[in-house]
Amino acid sequence: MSQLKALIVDDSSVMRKIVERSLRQAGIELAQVFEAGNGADALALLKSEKVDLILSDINMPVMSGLEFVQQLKEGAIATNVPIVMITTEGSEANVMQALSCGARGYIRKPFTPEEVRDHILPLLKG
Amino acid sequence: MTATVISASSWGLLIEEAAREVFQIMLGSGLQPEAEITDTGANVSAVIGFAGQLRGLLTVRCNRSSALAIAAHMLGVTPAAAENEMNDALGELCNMIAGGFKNKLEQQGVECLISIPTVVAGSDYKLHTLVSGLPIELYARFEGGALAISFQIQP
Repeated sequence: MSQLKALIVDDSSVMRKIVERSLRQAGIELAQVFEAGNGADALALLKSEKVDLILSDINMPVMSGLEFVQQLKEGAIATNVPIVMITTEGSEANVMQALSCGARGYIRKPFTPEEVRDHILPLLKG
Repeated sequence: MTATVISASSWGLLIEEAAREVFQIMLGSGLQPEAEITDTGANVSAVIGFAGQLRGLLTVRCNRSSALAIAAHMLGVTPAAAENEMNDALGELCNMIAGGFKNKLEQQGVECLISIPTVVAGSDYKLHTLVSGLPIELYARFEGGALAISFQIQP
């Protein structure tokens, strides 16, 4: 698998580091990792950077993860880039809402590196 | 959806279950529940609000060395290297426990929303809330340090 550029969106810097570590433990080779603390910062970053994978929390200040993926969809930004939500918000309604907004996967916190691998590798294989 | 009536003692069990899952999966370590610890020596507290069919505040309190140990385990670094991430780590720990508890409540038909965590750290403070109900208190030890998880219900 070629090296990827990933964007990790979470208001917790600790969680952003854990997600990055889990991606590497899952055997995903990362050329570059971009970080954003909320959906608005992530949208701003995507104006100048192209990424291959987006992982986003839902419950964040300024702009939630659901609003972020909705705006990506409406603005046709980062189309075809797999978006995976990584969040404590694990209810069926949240999952359905995220998927309807354009997310391709959903991982509930707390998670293991194996769960990250199992959810993300199939998306990267197309 | 019809809400199921569950007792406060059941809520305590659900919180304990959620906390055990978080410690096991994210910190690679079990929690050791304890009987009441009268003085946790807490000087770091993370707080999350619940709204909806169950309203209240979930709080995780511990002392600085426990908070550093938690951050170190989460990040896979030494406690000294986790210094700058201590508050964020305790907030995220509280967030995951609250999220796990919320998900378990939803499985029983109790719908609620949770806030973003707030962390308070210092040498001499008390948390005063407008929530009036008696708290459900859980005590545990992690890396030898005392840890208190409480859920104060708004009747």
